[in-house]
Amino acid sequence: MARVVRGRLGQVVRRCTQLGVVAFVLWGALDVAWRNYKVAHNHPRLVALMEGDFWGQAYALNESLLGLWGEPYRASLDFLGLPWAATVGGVRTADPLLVLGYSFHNQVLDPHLLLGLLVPFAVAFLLGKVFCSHLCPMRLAFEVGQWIRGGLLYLGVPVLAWQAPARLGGFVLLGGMLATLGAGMSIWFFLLPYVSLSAGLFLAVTGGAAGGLLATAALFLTADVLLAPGQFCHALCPQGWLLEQVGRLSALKLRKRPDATACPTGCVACVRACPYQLSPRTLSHLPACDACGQCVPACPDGKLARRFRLPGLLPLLLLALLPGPAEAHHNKGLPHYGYFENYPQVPTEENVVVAGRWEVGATLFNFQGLDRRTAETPNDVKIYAYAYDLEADAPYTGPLTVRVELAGREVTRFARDRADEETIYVSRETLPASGEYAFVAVLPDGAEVAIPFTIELADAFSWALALGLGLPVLLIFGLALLGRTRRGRARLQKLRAGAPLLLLTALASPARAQAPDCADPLSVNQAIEGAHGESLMIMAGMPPLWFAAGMVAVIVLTFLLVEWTGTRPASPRRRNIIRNRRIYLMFRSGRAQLVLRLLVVGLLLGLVYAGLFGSRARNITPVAVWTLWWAGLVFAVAFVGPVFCTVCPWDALANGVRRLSLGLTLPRPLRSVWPAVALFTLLTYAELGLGTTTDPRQTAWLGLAMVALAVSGALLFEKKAFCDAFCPVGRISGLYANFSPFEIRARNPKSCVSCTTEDCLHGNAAGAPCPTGISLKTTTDATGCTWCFECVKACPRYNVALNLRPFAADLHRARPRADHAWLAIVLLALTLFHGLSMTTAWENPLPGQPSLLKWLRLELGLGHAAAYALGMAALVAAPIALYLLSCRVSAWLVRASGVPASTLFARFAFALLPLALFYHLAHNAMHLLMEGGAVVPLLSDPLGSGADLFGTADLRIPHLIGEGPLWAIQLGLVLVGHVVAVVVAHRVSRDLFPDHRLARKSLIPLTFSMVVVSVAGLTLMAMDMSMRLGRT
Amino acid sequence: MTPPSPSRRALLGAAVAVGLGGAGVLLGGRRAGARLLTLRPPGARPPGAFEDACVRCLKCAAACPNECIRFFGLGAGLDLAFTPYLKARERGCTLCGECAKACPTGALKPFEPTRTGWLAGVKMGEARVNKAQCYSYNGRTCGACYRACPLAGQALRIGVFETPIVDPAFCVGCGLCEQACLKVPQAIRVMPAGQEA
Repeated sequence: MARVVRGRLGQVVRRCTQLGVVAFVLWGALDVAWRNYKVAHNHPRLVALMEGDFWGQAYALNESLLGLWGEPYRASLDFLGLPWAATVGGVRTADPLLVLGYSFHNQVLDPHLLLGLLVPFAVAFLLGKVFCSHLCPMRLAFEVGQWIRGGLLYLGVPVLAWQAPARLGGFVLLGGMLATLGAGMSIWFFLLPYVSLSAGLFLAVTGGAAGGLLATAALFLTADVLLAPGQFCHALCPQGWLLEQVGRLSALKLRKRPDATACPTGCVACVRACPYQLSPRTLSHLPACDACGQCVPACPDGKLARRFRLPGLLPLLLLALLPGPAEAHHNKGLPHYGYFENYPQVPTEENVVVAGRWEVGATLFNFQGLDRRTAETPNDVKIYAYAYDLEADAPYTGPLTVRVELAGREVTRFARDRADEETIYVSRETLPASGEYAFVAVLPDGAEVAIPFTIELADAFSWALALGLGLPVLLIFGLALLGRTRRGRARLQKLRAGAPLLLLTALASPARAQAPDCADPLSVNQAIEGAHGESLMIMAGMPPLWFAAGMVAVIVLTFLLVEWTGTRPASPRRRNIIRNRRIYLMFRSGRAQLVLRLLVVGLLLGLVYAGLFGSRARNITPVAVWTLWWAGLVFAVAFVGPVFCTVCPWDALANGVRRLSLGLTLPRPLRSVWPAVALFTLLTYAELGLGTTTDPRQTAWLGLAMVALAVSGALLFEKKAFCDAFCPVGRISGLYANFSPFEIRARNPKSCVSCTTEDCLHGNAAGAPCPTGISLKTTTDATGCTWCFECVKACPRYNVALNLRPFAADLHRARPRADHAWLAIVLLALTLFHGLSMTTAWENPLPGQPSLLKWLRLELGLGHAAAYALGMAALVAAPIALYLLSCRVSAWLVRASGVPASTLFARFAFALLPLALFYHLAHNAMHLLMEGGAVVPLLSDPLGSGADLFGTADLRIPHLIGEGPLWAIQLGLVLVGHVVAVVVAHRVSRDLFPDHRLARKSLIPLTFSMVVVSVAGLTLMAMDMSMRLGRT
Repeated sequence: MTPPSPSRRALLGAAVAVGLGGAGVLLGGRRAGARLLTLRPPGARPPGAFEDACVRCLKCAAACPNECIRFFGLGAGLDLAFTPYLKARERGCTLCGECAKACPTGALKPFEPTRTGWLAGVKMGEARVNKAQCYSYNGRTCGACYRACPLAGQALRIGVFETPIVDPAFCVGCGLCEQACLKVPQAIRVMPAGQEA
């Protein structure tokens, strides 16, 4: 027992030294600011007045602590730097890799650096990889990451556990050295995460280019948490490798006690505790072990210990670490008057441009007072401009017009007849957002001189927002933390009763606040011609009355349906449309399919060509892909089936190379639709956040990326891994196909009973095996089917049918796997977000108008892409959280039956599909009917080169439908989707619970969230939309 | 999992090493014609040699009592990334020399913080007066730059109405004059050393 306690104590000490390093980095950065005060002989009291009492006291404490070392200013210079080039107590140390890289890059040996090398080498020689286990700040981050990983595993999030094929640290070191030759020392910021982490922390405090560095460290951390735990340190870190070689003979090693008895067979407690799965039990842990000692308290018999072989060396080591004599020094630089603190009106930007005859200069002040958050006009800037006539060699003071442009679009302008103050033109302008601006001065001879500026308006940090966004994360980690211990799990059980109510109220309040401002009289059609000819249109949403009527209908219908549709449905009638022998044989030959596929491949290549080489402004690719194909796809699936998969060009191309396939088995974690979920999320982000929908190049590259994915999938894996796991189009089509009125099934199920070969699943000479692993003998739903018709070819009994059936016949019969259920709910969430992203509430193209995205960017000071990702993540998480919550509540309500929430989650997930599908249809109806006409002129001029192939290039197709009918269609579709969803949910509940009271109970939270989702859908349709008309 | 055979490990390792090295060599090419319009800290080696010698340890900023040293981000290219610079208009250099003393590699060469030391060891740039902008040259006596200059009388002398006259032989380019200039846009600007067109 005492040994275990001592082992734990060792861990506490280790944690303290790790935190000490991080604290040293942060303190070093803080000291930069404080040294400024020390130079000016400032008293803590003055610091308190300027920065607040807390900082005043911290400053005073720092002064007195440094005072123990010597004169505080001088002493503070004895503690400098970061873990790879630090001055600690006046002793300079240098990271071995830094010294090697520097010497290699410059081909010189610097005696100072070599001296600095002595300290880490001596430490490594005596104590082995003690840097890795006790000092490396990234190791601390990795350990936090492993803690998070444990929580994720508890929550059931699938994370991978890749193992590096070999320990390659030495080779990474070699490669890094080679890279240093070309790229210089900055390369180590990307190979050593502890370097980027500590530099990022340092710069985050002092203010600088911290974001990229922290992101690098975060990338390593994410990979460690989600993909390959411990593999960076164990297999890739060049520093760890080097220290390992130096420390092979070190005195500190983790060993079994000499008096320890043999370990019991099968005990792997130490292996489990080791972050790298090393085994002290079999003594195979050396030399990779860094003696972190995590296994010591884990050993049930206390057999392990870190032991010094030569403890006498330690005092010598400490002696070596004693500081050298401080240098005499008293220069304090020039006095500092706190100019910047007292007078913040230092110009934000000053630039001078000379163009031909004119020299034009402009100076900008961020007109925001001391604290922008309290400023009355936070977005105002003051502009001082002058023009100098170089020909006349005299300042110009005549009439001048200045346009202010943001990303090429005019934001504001001002004109003066003469200079305001002597030779200076002064104006104060309100700018809408941070960004790259240009100030274009229009001079009397018509010359335009553009001066580029970067304006950073966002400097406020909203704690409320950060808390709001961070709270769900904290909640998840809190739950994960509780889930890690037995006592915590018991507590969690108790919490489950009360927490959902709390969450429900929390979720309900923002929903109220988000109610649309329907009464806005200004929400009329507004068409704006952008500066690049990109035509934008703001379309008014559904009128308030329609919206209210729709909402009432949703609620009333819900109640009526739950009352009426009590019975289980009779088995629906089906009609096989390929009964005719000739038609069946046509499907069996597959020739028509091949021709169609080749046609579509040609179409794909044509569109990719047009996208890559055509005009960026006027191009057929974005319209054809995003307005016609993507919108049409959903209609096709809903009213026919996954026909796109039948003619899929990607799969057709992949089929061409399949015979060269390596035939690997897909790794187990990927044998699900999770990759498709991830790809679909990424695709949606690219489509909306990065503006792929209007960019022909991006669209074309996306098409090529899908080709690459399909082809590489075919080359690497057996069967059709791409269709099965990766393709978001196919998987979504599959889900929606559960609604569609056609299905591929066994013609006569009884005939299948005697079938033992299952050629439909395994394939034979006539037909390939089912790409998604479905056997017609057992299938109950359309989720996996891609309508490739291989089973039609393969079945020796000609027993395959293409049935016409009622809509939504499979939705309540399917028993979805967990990953399919997740795809369904993610699909719903992303679809709703897709709708939201088109509204002006999310992103408003009109300059100066507020929107959610702009608010995010201003409040958090993020760039467009980051703000978009953040907002999207939060808004996509909301419906998912709502569904999870309602499943939890359902499970609690029906706890008597013992059906767990996970079962409800999977079974009810497909009941949400009609909501997603019909919202998708309603949304895309708008795209197709309002924007689809744009393709007609583009057909004649696909590359935007001015061609007129069919004589339609100048045709302008009006909207195919007016606003009123469109609203009616949209409202109708949302209502139908809601009705179908409620009916399906009801049927599922009756299927799950024979007791109808339990069934009804289980439905309450679910129908509630369905109403919320449908009302949210209606809300989105009642909001103003900014339409993409492409570029005209 | 079975450990890979030595030859396979070597192959993998060689691939990693060559890949990393190749990427570094490809990415690391110095950007031709990039004009550095910002100042380096005092005592810096000439452009090119400075980037080679700088190990990006950030110690110069940690040592600076004036908080004027900043760092380039990746946007500046891999050869300039994370190297120090300062923007004189926002905060000039007080020439205290702490950064150069902290520099572990001599990318910044230490110098004595005295007039002779500065003249011997510091050449960050050279001040240039824009007479059309300057108050003093336009009849209103100002002299803010002269009073800010640490080498006043040598690097910056004044004529009638306190008109500033820069002596390039003595100006070390600390940027305190640029910081002090009252005129908007500024009438005096430090052009970085070795960067003159």
